[in-house]
Amino acid sequence: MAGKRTWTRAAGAVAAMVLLVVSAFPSDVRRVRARDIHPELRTSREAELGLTAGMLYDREFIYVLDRSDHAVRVYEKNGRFRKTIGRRGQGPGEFNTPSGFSILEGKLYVADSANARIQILTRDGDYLSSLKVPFRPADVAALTRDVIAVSYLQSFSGEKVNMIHGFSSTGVKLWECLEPALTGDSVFDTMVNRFLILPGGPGEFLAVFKSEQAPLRRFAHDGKLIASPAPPRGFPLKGLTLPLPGRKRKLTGFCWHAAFSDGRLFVLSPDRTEEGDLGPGFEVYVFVPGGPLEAVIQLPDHVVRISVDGNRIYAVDADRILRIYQFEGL
Amino acid sequence: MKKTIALATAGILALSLAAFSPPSLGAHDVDHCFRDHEICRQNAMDMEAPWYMVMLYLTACDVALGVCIFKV
Repeated sequence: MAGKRTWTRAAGAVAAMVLLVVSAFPSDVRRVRARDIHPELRTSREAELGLTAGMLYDREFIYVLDRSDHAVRVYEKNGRFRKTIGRRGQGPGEFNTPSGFSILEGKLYVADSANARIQILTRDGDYLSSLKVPFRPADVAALTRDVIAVSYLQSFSGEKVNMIHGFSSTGVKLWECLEPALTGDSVFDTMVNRFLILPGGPGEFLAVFKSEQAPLRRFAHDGKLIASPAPPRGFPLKGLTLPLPGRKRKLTGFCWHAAFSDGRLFVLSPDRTEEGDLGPGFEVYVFVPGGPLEAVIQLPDHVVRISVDGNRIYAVDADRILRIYQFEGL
Repeated sequence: MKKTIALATAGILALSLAAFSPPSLGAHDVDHCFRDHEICRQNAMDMEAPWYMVMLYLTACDVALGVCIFKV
């Protein structure tokens, strides 16, 4: 009798869990498998990259910011290597530890971190101009021809500084926004304040946090906060407890990398490693910021960077190889 | 558990020594220490490693900052 009751309870618990999982994940979300359309890149030496800081697709070319080579690597959309833009240095067209980049209207904007400047080049790599910024830029997004958003990694040497600064193309400071969340624990604070700046809808841009309770912020081009939309229902937020001694703090893992294409946000969700850590992911969640989850794209590999063009995802995999995937059904 | 903590501590100390470039350790300028600290943290965040490893590296950056300031 007691055994039967135990079985009944266990079956009830399993049913409740299944119901919970089913209700948490919207039924109309499409699950799409992407396929590797250029498998030959796996063994191509030209597709090998160093530590990357960003990836973009623009007008038939793939741009990868290679932080360890202090350069931008340019590939054709079939993965064939085309050229390298820049080299290590302090002169025009040279970079020192670049940390982010952006493309707008055929111009390449590079956050030249250790040189504390944003360099503007043609998409072919010819130097056009640069603007000095009063800090080491972490990322950059050209919003319009005249407004450039530059992110700043909160320093612990001084006062609290907003994390996004708007500059004109001539380097005049226009506005600043996004206060950092600070607790006094520098490691935790750095982890919590990591974010990407991405173009958003018309007249907007997005701050996409890697780990935060409120990971999305929509801003207008004048730096005013429009909204902080919650992640869509069914999006997997993954908890991670800081393993170091002292007061335990929990991170909420949201994104490893992200891209914005055709009005939709593509968020690469971090994957749980065997050790319980959060590492590079293989699932890309697609939604309009503030809207419902539309699709989940499963990639055949774990990747660290993504860029999206139509039904193609360009990526750098966890072994630092350029990859090109195609998916159907969005 | 003790072994893990010991390994993590040893890792942090080793990373701390490697985190800042040798010239910065000799520089008599606190600002330089903070500048190197920023680069160290940026490197940690771009290392594409799982997050525990990033946190370990960030801790090493903080320890290296302390060492750099102490040497000034």
